[in-house]
Amino acid sequence: MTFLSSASYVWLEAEPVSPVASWPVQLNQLCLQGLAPWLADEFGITTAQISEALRLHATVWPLVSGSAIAVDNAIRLILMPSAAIDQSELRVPQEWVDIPDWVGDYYLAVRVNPDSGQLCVWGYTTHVQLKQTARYDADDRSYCLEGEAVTDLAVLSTTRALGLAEATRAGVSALSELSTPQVNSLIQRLTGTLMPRLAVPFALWGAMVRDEAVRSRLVAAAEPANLSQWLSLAGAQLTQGWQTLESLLPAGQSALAFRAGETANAVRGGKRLMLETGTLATTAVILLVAVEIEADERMSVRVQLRPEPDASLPADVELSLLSPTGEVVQTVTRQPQDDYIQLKRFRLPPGYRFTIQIRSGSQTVQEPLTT
Amino acid sequence: MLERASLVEQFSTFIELANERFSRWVPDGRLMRSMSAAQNRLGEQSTPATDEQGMAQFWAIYWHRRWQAGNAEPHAALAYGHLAAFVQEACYWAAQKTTQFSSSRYTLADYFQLAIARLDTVLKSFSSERGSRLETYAYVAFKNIIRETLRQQKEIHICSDWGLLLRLSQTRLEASLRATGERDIAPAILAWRCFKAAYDPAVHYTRQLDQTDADIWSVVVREYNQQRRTLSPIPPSGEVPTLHKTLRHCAAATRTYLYPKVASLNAALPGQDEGELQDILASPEEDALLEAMVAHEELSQRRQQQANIDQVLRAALGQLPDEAQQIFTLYYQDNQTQQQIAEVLGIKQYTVSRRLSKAREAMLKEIAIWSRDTLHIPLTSDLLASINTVLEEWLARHYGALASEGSLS
Repeated sequence: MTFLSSASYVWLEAEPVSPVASWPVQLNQLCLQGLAPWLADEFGITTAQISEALRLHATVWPLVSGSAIAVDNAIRLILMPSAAIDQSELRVPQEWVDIPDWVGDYYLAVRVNPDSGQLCVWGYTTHVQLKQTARYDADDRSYCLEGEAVTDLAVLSTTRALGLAEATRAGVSALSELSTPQVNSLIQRLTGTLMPRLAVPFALWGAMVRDEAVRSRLVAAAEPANLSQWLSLAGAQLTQGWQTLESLLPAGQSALAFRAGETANAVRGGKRLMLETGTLATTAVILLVAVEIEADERMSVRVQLRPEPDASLPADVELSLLSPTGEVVQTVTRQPQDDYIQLKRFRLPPGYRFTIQIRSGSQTVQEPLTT
Repeated sequence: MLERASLVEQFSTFIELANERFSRWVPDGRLMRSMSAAQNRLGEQSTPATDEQGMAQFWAIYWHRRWQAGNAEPHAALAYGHLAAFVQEACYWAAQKTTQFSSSRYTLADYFQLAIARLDTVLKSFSSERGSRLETYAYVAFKNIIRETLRQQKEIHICSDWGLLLRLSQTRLEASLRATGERDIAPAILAWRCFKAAYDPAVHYTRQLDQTDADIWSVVVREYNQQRRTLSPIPPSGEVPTLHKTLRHCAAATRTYLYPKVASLNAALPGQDEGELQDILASPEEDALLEAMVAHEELSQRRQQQANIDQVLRAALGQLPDEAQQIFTLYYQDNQTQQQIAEVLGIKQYTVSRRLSKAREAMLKEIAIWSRDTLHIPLTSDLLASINTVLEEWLARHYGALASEGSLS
């Protein structure tokens, strides 16, 4: 009953963290770094362990909030930061409860004030309690324990001091393995989604994020594709789901794309995107980008949208260029006679962020890019 | 404040406030009759030999057990009424203590109201075992509830609407929206979740967010329209102005929720004038409980246990280093927060946390070991949690938190 007494709350001050990262990443970093002195005093966790955890969670935090840290290789603590001013709940993402390798013994409720850097550990719960008494919220896939049901920290330290052997973990079912093609198609499907953890069934998502290599790819895919990098590597290494045209289109067609007015220096990339064209039907389209350096260091960018071989574009499909503030700069809509559509060539200075948007019916797909 | 002279009054009268002060005790007729009847029934049995205060403890535990057992309305409501009457002073002093230096524009009556409204939760967590006293326990709990509210009010006050939406738990938002009388809150919650995912204060920090920030709103609207189909019933598709309005409303509801509504103090009492006679007639269970409490010499046993625990805890307290005792005094006797203690002693707040929690843990450990060894109770974390609340009540009582108010003048 933590709300009845604040005597066991642990207050700490965290140093500000780099504002480069996104807000959820900053929040988690602030929490882990800020708690370091207490984790050392209470659980004997070393600075080396903290640094290691910071490195390991670089691919976790952009996808799932929370950090795990092992104590004496025996118990696992899960730190759950929240920026909420109130203490009405301890909300734990399902990943920390239902992915077998991610399960922890103790889940610590940490209130973070991102403005002042002040942290407060105000209670904890166990995996058993989350599984048995917490409410599962299907809308954001989390286990939610009312603030009043969160246990006082004094109980945790006394339990450990007295060596009480109590079950802290409940059983969870194993997740199935995913094949490489499955992972590839899931990554493509999740690229550009705002809440990827909610976009595919948990069994698939859980099987993906437990794997660090897959997490790295998911995180990289969320970044805008960098056209300067395309140019510096001469198209040898495309990321974020972009591929060479040769791997996407039959030889004849790939040679035709962007032919007019093209110089040999242009780097070209393509991406297959799925559009929902009916209640159950999806149509694949191929987005093509060609980029080259102009004499004045500016980049010249051309964008096309083509159908898959032997298919045609959806009738109403529309291709647009959006500015960093989301305004439509130019747009082109498919006419009945069009096999493919393309934007007017545009030039941009280096380091400029823009978005290509494809719309068909009520569906919109956005591809963030940076020069 | 006048002290309530008789046991009947202690369990059936309510504070009336006037001009931020105690004005008078207002009796509740139904509770008066019920308490007198209960006393008469006890009188028919051999009355345990104890003083007035011991009897107050006895009745507090009796009504608490009745309330706990209380699935059979209106008996539970009656027990609740007696307990609400009993903790009036505790609530008054908690409100008085925590708000006397506060600059809030809300009054003592507001905070009194806010705290007593949470009585249900306080009663749920109270354990009458091991000599714990309801009035001190309620005082500590009420004080913490009010203090927490003040802290949250202060923090929320300096947030913009958009900043506030990021610094809010979903549970709180749900409670705030329900408090406005809204039935279907799912669309608003969805809009809020989409907003939270799209809005990055690291990027948008310096901006005054409005409807023209197309990059955020286009994302929020798109995400909302994609996810709304999972709700039942499916809400109409969202547009920038409607979602903007929904989120403004969420922020406003959250602010309102933290401030108590001024209502009649007695309004919180359940079913005051209903079912006059039947409540007062004792049910068989009630008589059985009363008999059992007397027959098992519970009072003398409680006395003994209280004395034993008192001894264990006093000894444990004596073992603590001076700096820990100093912090205990500041925390429990002088009602200082950890932050205030850090300022007074010129040390880090973390050091205060550390000393305070280590000292409390040392005592919790002592009493746990004593329970295990002398009462032969197997220790579990649930039991430790319950002993922990006993310890908190004991510390508050030992440092005279409630008693130091003297007579409630």
